[in-house]
Amino acid sequence: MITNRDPNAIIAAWIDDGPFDLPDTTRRAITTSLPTTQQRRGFGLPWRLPQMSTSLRLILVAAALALTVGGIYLFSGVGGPRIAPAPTTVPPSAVPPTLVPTPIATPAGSPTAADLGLTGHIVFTRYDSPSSMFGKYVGLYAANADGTGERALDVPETDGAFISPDGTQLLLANPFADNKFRPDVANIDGSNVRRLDVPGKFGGMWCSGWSPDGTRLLCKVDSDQSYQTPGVYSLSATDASDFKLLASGSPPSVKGSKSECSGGDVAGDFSPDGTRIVFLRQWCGTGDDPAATSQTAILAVDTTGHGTPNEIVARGLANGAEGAPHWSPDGSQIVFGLADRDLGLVRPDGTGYARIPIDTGAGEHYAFSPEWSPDGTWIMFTLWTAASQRSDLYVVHPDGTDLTRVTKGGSTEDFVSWGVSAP
Amino acid sequence: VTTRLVERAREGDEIAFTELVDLFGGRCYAIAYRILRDVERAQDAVQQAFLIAWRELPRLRDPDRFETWLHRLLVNACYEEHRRYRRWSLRVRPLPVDGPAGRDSILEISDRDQLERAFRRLTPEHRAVFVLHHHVGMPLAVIADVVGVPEGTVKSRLHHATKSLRAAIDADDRFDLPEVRPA
Repeated sequence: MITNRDPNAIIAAWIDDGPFDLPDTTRRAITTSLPTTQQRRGFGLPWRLPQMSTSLRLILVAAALALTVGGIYLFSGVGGPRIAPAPTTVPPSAVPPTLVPTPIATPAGSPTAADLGLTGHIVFTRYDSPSSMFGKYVGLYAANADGTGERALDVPETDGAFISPDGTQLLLANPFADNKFRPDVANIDGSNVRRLDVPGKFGGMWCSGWSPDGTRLLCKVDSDQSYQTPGVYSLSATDASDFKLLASGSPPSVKGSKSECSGGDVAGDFSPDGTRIVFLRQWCGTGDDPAATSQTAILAVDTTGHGTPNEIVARGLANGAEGAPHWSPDGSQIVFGLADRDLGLVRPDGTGYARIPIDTGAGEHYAFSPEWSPDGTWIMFTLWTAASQRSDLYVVHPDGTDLTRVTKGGSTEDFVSWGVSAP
Repeated sequence: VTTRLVERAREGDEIAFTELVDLFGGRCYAIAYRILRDVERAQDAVQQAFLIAWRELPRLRDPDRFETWLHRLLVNACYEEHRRYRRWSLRVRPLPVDGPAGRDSILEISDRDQLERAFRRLTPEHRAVFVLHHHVGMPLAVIADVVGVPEGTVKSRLHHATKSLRAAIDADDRFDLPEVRPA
């Protein structure tokens, strides 16, 4: 208890405590990226030359406007075919530099997503990624499952969205308002956004799934605040009532000299019959850097609120950040992200553990955020490749065949949800 | 000297820009760490800010405003880092680099814990204003320029942040409420 000390002095000492020197690794990462990071040049107008006349400036402005309007006309597709960016060879670098996107090589005659007969529709988040895997948030988008008919949804910023089983509603995973992360629900077209009024003093929430009948949501409650038990809950999709704690007992946080790791759970998905859920659980490592040596498993538990979770993918094999598991529509398999940045399959009883072979033909890759098609014959996921330095959505059969790109923008797409089209 | 370096870097001189990194990198890192409370995310934010600075530098008309402009890029990079990682709640939670024991007897472990928790509950916008004012020592008008909001908003954010942190160390029992298990 503080009684005779000056709070302002304490706060000042705390805020001044910390590093002041840029680590050499960061300095090298910056400087080695410069040669591959192109500087943006403007129109090159000599604005500051004192001898330039006003009339010359007006002429230059008019020329610039004409170029701009002409460019918009040409590149918007109104004035002709869209011009694809030229492939660029990229030297390896300590950090992903700013690059011109390089598409994965596709043999001539290969099918496109439009040729696959994909049904239903998808929603996904998009990021502008000038120099990193995840860049600035652009927005939430919807499209047909083959990537056509793309449109932006006018909804609050969220890291993901999930289509309801009947295809009529969207669950926005974690919009931030009033200093809290809380789920929103909206119509499938993004209209009629309503925030679920969560009772009690819960910490941040991240919701990731609908029950098969569309009446309940699956959410993880953060452990940053200790007012309520952190863990995985189900709750009413209409008014956030009837909170039911399905899994608690999150692993403890561990402090090291370099990092502090916060163990915990991440909500995954309901089984197709609604009787069980799967979720991620992360255990912290030991030593100086417990976050770096943390391990993640996939667990399943029934939805009664009285079950004991059982491990179906062993600790250390699952991806802790973006490997959230999803149940196949027929209930026979679960797809998830592997710790080594590939996709895996497992049966709900923990047998049949297998890797989905992803062959991009383009070197290093990172596959994550998988989701099943409504008919269970395809898996859509996010794929980052070293060659392209960005992420796109792809589909693949569960046996790894017919890998095909769905989104072809110049940005990063992430967190796909695939649902049936609303009647 | 800085102005000349900025002018050279603006023309594409990588060596000049590297010298700018050496000149301003430490301060940027210190600011980013204090906003994000995480060494790795702070490094990412600094890297992002400098790479954007390099890319956009030809568009900076007044080299004398480089430092303010760089701080603006840095604060925006911190905002993005915060958003980018908010879903990764299982990731690193930072500790002060000197370790829990600290180097100043005025700062006890309980103070650190309470302040860290209170600070994490602030939005990145509030954190940025607090750090720029109390750590960097920027006047409110300059902060308003850096973060791109009116000076009144800066005052309001500063007041809110300071009040929250003071409350954290004034009321230790605030976090000792019993857990309530939902029905």
